[in-house]
Formats: sequence, C-alpha cells, structure tokens
Amino acid sequence: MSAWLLAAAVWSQWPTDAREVLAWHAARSAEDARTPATAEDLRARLYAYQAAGAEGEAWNAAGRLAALDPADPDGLRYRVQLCVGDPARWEEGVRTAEQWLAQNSTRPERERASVEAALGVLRERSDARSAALQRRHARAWVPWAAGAAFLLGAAALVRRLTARRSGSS
Amino acid sequence: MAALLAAALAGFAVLAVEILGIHLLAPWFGTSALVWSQQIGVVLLAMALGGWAGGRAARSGADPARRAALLLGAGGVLIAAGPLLLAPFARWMLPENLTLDDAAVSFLQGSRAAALLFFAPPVFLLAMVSPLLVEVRARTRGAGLAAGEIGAAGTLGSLAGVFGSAFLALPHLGVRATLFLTCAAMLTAAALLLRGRAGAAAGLLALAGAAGAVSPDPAREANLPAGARVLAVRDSFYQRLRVIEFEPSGQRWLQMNEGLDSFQSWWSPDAAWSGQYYDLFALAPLCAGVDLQGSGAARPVRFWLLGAGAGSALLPLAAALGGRPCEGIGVELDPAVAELGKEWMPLDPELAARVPSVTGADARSLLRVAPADLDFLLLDAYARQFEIPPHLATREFFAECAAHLRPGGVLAVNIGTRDAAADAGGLLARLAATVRAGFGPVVRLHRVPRSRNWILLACKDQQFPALAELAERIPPGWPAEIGAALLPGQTVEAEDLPAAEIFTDDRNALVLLQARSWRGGADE
Repeated sequence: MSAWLLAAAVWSQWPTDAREVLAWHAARSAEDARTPATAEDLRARLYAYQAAGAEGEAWNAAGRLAALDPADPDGLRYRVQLCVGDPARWEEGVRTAEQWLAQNSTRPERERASVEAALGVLRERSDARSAALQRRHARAWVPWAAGAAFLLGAAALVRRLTARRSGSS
Repeated sequence: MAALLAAALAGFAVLAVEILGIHLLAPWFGTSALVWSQQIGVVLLAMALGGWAGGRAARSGADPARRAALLLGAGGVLIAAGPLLLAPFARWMLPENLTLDDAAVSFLQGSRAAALLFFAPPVFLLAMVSPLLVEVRARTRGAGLAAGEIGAAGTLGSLAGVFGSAFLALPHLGVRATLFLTCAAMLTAAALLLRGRAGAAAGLLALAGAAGAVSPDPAREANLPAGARVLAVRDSFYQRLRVIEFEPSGQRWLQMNEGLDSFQSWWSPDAAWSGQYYDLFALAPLCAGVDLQGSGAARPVRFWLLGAGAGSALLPLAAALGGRPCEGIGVELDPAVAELGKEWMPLDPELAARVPSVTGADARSLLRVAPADLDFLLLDAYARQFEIPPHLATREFFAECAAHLRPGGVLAVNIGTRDAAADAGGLLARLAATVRAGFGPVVRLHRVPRSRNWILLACKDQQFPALAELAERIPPGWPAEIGAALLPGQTVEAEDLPAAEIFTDDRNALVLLQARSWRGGADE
C-alpha cells in the first residue's frame, strides 16, 4: 500500500475521543483473536496509538511489527519515531536509527529520509542533554571547593586572632 | 546594654539567614528535604565553629567590644552578598537544557555550595560575637551572669528571627529586602559598639545596606521555560511562586521554586480538558459508578480534592460531571497559591462556588472533618515541587481516606516518578502496596500519556468495572488520552504489582526514596 493510501486508511479509523480509542482497541483485539494482524494493520495501529498518547501500546505494536518479519525493518523504524517523543529513549533512538540506516541502505528514499530526520532531532536533543549533563558533572567539585574555602577562611581568621594573642602576651 | 542589643541582633540575623536563605535558594535549587537538611547542617556547622572561634578570640586580650563590632559589621556585609551574588552563581551552576529530572543533582550540588559560600561565612562570624560580648560584659557582671544574659538576649533575638522571617519578612518585606535590612541592622549594632569615626562609617554602610532593599529581584526569571513571560512572583511561607504565560496560546502555569519544565497548576483561557494528568481524575467518578449522563435530580456528587492548587483538576472534573449537581471541597495548604490562582487563573464563578477551596489547612487534618459518604477523593498533594508529603502516603492515612468514602467510592492519587511499577523497591510499587494495606486491595495504575506521571485508582469494597464496561460509561467527547490511559499497555493491575514494603506513620522512608529516585534518574 502506498504511503498516502496508508495514511488515508489510518485517518479514517483515527480515534478522536476516549470512547472511540477503547472501542477501536477492542475491535483490534477481536480481530487479533480471529486472524493474526498483518504488518499493514500493525502500522495503522501504531499511528493511532501514538496519536492517542498510548505510548505503551504503540511500543508493543512496533515490537510486534519487528517480530512479525525480522527482515522487515519497519518495526525498528517506528520505534525510532516513538523515541523522539520520550526523553528517556533518546539515546536508544539514536542507536536504533543508526542501526536501521546502516542495515537498510536499499530501502525507499522516503523511509530513509524520515529516519534520518528523526535521527537528526534525536541527536540534537541527545547531544544538548549530554552537554548539559557534562557541564553538570564538571561542576561536581564546586561544593567541595566551597567547603574547603569556608574551612580555610575560618581557620585563617582564628589563626590571625590567636596570633595577636601570642604577640600581646 | 549595647552588648545585649548586639547579641540579640546577632541571634536574629543567624536565624534570618538560615530561614530566608532557603527562600533565596528556592527559585534556583528548590527546597527539597535534602536542600533543607543541607542548609540546616551548614548553618549549624558554621555556628559551632563560630562559637569555638569566638571563644578563642575572646581570650586574645584585644578589645573584645571592638572585635565583636568588626565581626558584626563583616557578618552584615556578607549577609548582603548573598542576594547579590547568588543569582550569577546559580546561573553558572545550573546548565541550560536540563529538565527537572536531570537537574536534580545540580540542585543538591548548587544549594550545598551556595550555603557554604553565602550563608556559612556570615553565620560563622556572627556566632563568634557571643563569646566576645560575654567577655565584655563579664568584666563588670561576672562570667556566669554575663554568659546567661548574653545567651538569653541571643536566644530572644533568634526567636524574633524565626517568627519575624515567617510572619513579617516573607509576607510583607520580602526575602531580599529583609536580608539587606538585616545587614543594615548588623552594621548599626557595630556602630553602637564602635562609636566614634569607625562607628559613623559603620552607620553609613548600614544606610547603603538598607538601600539594597529596593534593588530588583534577579530570580524573577530564574529557570524560565522557553517562550514564557512572567506575570507574577510571590514568596509564600512555603515556597517561591510564579505565574508564567505562554504566547500565543495564553496557557498559564503556576510554578513553584525552581520551575524549569514543571508546573504546580495549569490554566488555559478556553480549554476544560488540559491534556495533562488532571484529565485522568475524571476516571474517579467514572470508576465510582457516578452516573455521568444522569439528570440533575439525583443525589449531588460528593468529592474532596486534597492539594487543590489553583483548581486545575476542577476544570476537567467539571467537564466530566457536566450538569450534575456536586458538592466538592478543595484543600490547599498554601493560601498564596489560591490567591494567585484567583487572580491569574480564574475558574468559572459558578464552578468556584460549587467547589470552594479551604486554604491554610493540612489535607490530613482537614480530612478528619470530611463526610463519610464521599463518592471520590482526589489526592494531588506535593510539597517542594516533587515530594509527596510523607504523612499523606502512609497506611494509616489511606485507611482514613477509605473511611470517608461510600462503598464503591474511589481514591485517585497523582504520582510523579521515574520508577517502574515492577520495581519492588521503587516509589510506585511501595505506594501501591501502602494503599492496598491501608485502603483496600482493589487498586489499578494508569500511566498518564506523554508524561512520567501515573494515576493510582483504588476502589472501596468493590472491584473495578471491566474495560468494556468502562468504555460504555464514558460519555462522548472525553479526550483520546483518557482512553489511551485505560488500555492494557498503559495499565498495571493489582495482581501484576510486586510485594513491596509499605510506608506507615511510624516508619516512613518516602523522602529518602524520592530523593534516591530523582538522583538515580538524573545519574542515568
């Protein structure tokens, strides 16, 4: 199915409120009980779950997609997209995207472009966070230095005061 | 007499620095339990060292009155340095681009360093003053009487420092102004002890210190999220509060203390459903079997909201309850939160009248006077940004919650944590275990979409309705995120939770656990 057909198919089933999300999920579960979901089904579900904020279900759908056919890398590709929205998965997303791009040089250009775009965003966010964390680690000495400065200053003052005493006596 | 006045002022200043120092740190580093502990620890260390050093200085034979005056003056100047230098130091210590989760370690490092740099030195110098003043007074009144008098004067000053900081400085003068005026008071005391030219110089410096009281507040825009502008700032007894607005949406956040990407209350000029965790509180009446599509003839829906903030949870709740008559009470500990909410995040007047807020009271104390037939109880109480108050997370407290709900009534708790539900030592599993021990065994956790928050639901004496039944009960128009939160991938059932140690009124490691959780998350 072409991309626009898939998008149209997904749009037509897009749950727009809580009730529809639950009904939609129940219908998909019933379908699963009858026949195993196809890759097309799983892709559509993945979009829908993601749009509804059901990251856990979207993650599971991507995993099922990857497990459905290990040679079909779409599961990993969608997981990259999911990682963009979850700060806890940025680093994982970068690794997954790099792995996907390295192993799928012959995939259609639009797929590679979407993963590359996601990788760009993930790298930017991940790098900014890493740099901030590095700066944070680089300041770890400051409390120790502040403590040492305080104690040394206090000791110097006491020494000065007691030295006067020695001088005067 | 000058010695007694000086001792009292020094005592006042030490406590003012300890208490107001925390409020000075709040916009940058927060006021978590660990930040508080560090501040108290550093101040006590400085007092101990200062007392010892002052004793040695008193034996030196030099003029003790002059030394005491110089120490008072120097201490006063160092007190004023805090409000002036803390902002640039904090900006340097806190890297940009960090979320609240990642910044937790920076808060601890930064607040410890700031306490050592800006609060320990003046406290050390001021603590040296008492032994010197005892030496001054002992020459005419004997050592024992002098020590007693100076000690009493210093303690009375400390008493004034505690209550003055809480009830005068914070609500009326402001933290910075009070610290500058404290500086001026120290210099005035020095002038009284010194007299002559040196005294006049100290007096002039005191005027300069007092002038600092009207200087602008550099922490107004501390840790401001991108795209936001500040509408109002206030220091309450409990925390630094700030209302910010995002353009062009007009969305407003009420932030406490260190701010960053976190908010205490949320408000939008034109949306009832927030897209935030508050929306999931609508699950409480749904799971409690309240007929959300029923007529107004039925019994009014009764609920309490513990930790009402500016009333953000009431917006989705009102949307969920529709036209159903309801009798609700919102409990908010900090009156300043409610005041800022009324001014900048106004609720629909009819809704505000239906669910009045009670402020200035602790949620647990007030719950004892709640009716015993509530339909649901919402718990959204957080202290110091990300700490669930320990007394609101114990087996005994959750048992009290159950006692105020009718059979089938529901307790809904907002829990912000990075810990996984499967982690038996984690916050989520231990809180759920505590609820099960105190409230009852029927609990369920829902992960809030696009968030690190969870909503814990507990049902009194009844099972939760099945997913399909819930789907039937949900009225049209509720946001998709609520449906998403109910899906199996976002839900943890009671039987999937690990056995975990519970929190009680007697043994409660919640503060340490939360600190570990945030530190652990930040160290990933």
